[in-house]
Amino acid sequence: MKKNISNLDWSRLLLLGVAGISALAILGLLAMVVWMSLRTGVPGQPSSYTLKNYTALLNDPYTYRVMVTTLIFSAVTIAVSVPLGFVFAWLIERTDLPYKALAMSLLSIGILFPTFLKAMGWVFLLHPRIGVINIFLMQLFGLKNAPLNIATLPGIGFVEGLTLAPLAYVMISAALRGMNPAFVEAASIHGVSKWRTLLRVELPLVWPALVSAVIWMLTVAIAAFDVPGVIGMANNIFTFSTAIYFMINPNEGLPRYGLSGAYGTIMVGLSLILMFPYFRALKQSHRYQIISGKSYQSRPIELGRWWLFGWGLLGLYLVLAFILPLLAIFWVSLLPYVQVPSRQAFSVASFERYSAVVFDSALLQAAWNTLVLMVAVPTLIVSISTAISWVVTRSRMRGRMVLDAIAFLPHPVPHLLFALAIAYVALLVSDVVPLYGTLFVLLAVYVICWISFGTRVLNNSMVQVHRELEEAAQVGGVPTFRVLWKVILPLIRPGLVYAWIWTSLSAYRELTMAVFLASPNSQLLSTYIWGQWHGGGLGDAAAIAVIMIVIMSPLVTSFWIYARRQQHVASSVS
Amino acid sequence: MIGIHSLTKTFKTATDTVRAVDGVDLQVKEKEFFVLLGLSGSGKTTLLRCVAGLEKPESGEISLGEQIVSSAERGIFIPPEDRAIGMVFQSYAVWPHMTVFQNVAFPLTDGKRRLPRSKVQERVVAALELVQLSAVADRPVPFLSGGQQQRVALARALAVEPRVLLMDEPLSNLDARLREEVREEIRGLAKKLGITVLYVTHDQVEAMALADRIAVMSEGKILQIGAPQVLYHFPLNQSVGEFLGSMNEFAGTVQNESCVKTDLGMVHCAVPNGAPTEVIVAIRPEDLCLSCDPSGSNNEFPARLISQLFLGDITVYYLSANEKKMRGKTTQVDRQLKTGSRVYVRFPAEKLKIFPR
Repeated sequence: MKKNISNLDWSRLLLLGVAGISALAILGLLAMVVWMSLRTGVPGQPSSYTLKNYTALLNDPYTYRVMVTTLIFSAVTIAVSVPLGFVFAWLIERTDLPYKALAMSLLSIGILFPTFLKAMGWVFLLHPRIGVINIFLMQLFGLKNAPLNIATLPGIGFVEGLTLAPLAYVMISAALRGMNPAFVEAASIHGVSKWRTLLRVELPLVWPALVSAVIWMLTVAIAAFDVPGVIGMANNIFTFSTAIYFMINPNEGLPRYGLSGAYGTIMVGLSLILMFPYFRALKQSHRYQIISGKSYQSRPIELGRWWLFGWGLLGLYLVLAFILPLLAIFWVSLLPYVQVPSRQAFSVASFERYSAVVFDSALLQAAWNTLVLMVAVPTLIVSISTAISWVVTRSRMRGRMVLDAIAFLPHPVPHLLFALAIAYVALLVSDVVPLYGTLFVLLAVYVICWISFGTRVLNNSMVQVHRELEEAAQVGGVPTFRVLWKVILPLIRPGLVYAWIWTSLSAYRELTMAVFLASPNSQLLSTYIWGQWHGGGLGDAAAIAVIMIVIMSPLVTSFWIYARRQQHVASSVS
Repeated sequence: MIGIHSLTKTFKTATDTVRAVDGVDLQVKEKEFFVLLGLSGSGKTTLLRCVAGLEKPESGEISLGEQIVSSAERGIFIPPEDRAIGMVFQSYAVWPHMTVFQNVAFPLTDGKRRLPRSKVQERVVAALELVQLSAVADRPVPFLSGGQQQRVALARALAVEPRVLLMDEPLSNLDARLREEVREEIRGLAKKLGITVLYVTHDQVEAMALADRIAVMSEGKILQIGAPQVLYHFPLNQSVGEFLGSMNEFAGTVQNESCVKTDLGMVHCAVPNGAPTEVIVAIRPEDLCLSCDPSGSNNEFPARLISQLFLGDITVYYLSANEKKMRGKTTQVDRQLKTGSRVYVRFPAEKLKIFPR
């Protein structure tokens, strides 16, 4: 026994320790959500365990309204995003659509585009009072009421659906790519037409993948905060996530942590339950995939003149999802108040707001904080994920699959719940350690939530490193940590860089977790815009949004060039 | 040099546990080229990995030289990095992000047996010289051919001047012609440097070409240990005999110490002491003697020549005698032997092998 202890390898211990602590943090925060649902009053206040929150929740008609709202919102989101994603995936993977690479790039980059900015853009376009299109139509036809309204349940579902279409595309195209083209070829050789093949062979074969994509979209829609937060909240449309936000940040009265915990517990349960059908469908779809050594591509379906239709659809999507909202934001940022483009409006348009906004010290502080997170968050995530993925894929520790499952947990569970839990913890310990409202709390929750992403990417990279490469170094007398540092890490560098940049850009665009935790001392660009938005400074919010996008564009583009070169095309998003 | 005592290693699968190595005893002598031969799943690779320290056995002991490196009973387990061995892997496992030189130098610069810089240079150059790769020292390894990568792996294993060199099917990824060439090189190098080699393969020709001694393994156990000639000519049982080359086999019943009754008729041979009554009489195809006319000697049976296959260096004859199929093999072409004709097959008594049935 004693010999075994002396044989302990400190580097192994370190890796195990880092992995173990992160896993405990994930489980701890989830447990905290449940725990707070069983308490009443302000955090830290003495309270007995109680089910009062649940009875209050069940007896309140508001709960059921929120539930129905969330369901309808999710349904609309899926109805918009999945068909779009499927058509795009089919066009790109199966046909001879020209400029495929461009279409692929635009869609994949679309995932990184800040969702709340898109939502703002749509308010500027279609709000019944300030929507540019609405004002234009009213003037044109002399209408008394706005003909279109984005601030409705179908409206926010539509915007969320546009936002999630690229994610649906990525998931479905992975399934199409994994499918053996021989199935389709066999059909065509035996005289089945292309369209019939699509309906009778291809669709049934990708069906499980489609189902898993739908389920995943459902979990994302339930957790969505940006669009319901920006468009819905001000118009009294509450989904689960905005309802929880409103409980913590009420217009009057104390924050109701207990009740929000009860809501949160339901959300955790829901997202975990959804994982069962998700993984079942995924397993089924893997069964349909035939992985052959040679990856041969089937002859693409010739679109003929239909390619114009394909690009027309893509173009329309890009206009609706990016160009129009962006133009609207830009337009509003130039004006003293929202108005329709006209000669008079152009004469008052100016960049005045920008000069006023840029020298605001609070904004500069927010920009600095954002930058700190953009460096610290990905660095920590990549380090921790390396440790976890090493334990999961390289060691032969018992229980490593449990560790993998825990690291995956933050993926389906709404991130705002982790933010909620860590806020609660920070409040609990605020007498001892003044953590509440600091940048550190934001850092912690970003890292914990995105470990799931980091480990997905790095698991994938690490399993591709042949075990004997590591063993050869071991036999050559090289200790564990050095093997990791000098053999494994250099070999998975593309994965490391990919994970780093992706999470860095995610930190830049993140709003959901930030609004739960940012205080005046720890503002970020996103929360600063959020504050302006809900404080009525729509024009200023628009101006900062434009600056944010201008900064982001070169970052995203260079990332994209790197990712394409490394063949790492957003494959690990799902 | 390598001592293995009642070693056992089991693996748990989803349904049951498999004894990959099952109570193996083995002694490899200093400077010996020792080959573990067996089908895939026979436990030979697991045994090798236990010696390397890449697997931890449940019971039994392994020693390298004087040092006990693994003893489950005494709680000793020296990790692979401390065992001072060299190993060549089946996939070569040359690090793709390093050059040839860096690959060979890495264990010397970053390993537990670190050397001063000048010494590293000297060692790597010498090792590359040995495998004739000095010319490509600065090339990244992915640009090398399979055979060259194989040599990098060998140079890397030799550069640490290991007390034992372990090789796990190092030739299985090479094409047939190259395999023969590298095989000669490996044997030559091992003998020139005087190192102890433990070598794993499933190819009996490779094993016989390389080995001083072979251990034939099956289902985690060692069936027989011996020099290639011994194993080939005097296999202890049917499996070992079949593993090292094909045989014609006849079921028979022992009549007395020099006589076995088979389907062909009475076969005269030396039945070993202690053989059971029910036996198998076996003879290798090249040991059959064929002729057109009967010579009248013992163990001669009439047969029909069904077909003959000319393979260049040898000719294979397919025969049928008393409904029993047989194969003969010879380097001499006898033009009088016609397909479909009647011939006589003779089994020289000293070439017959008797196994229990």
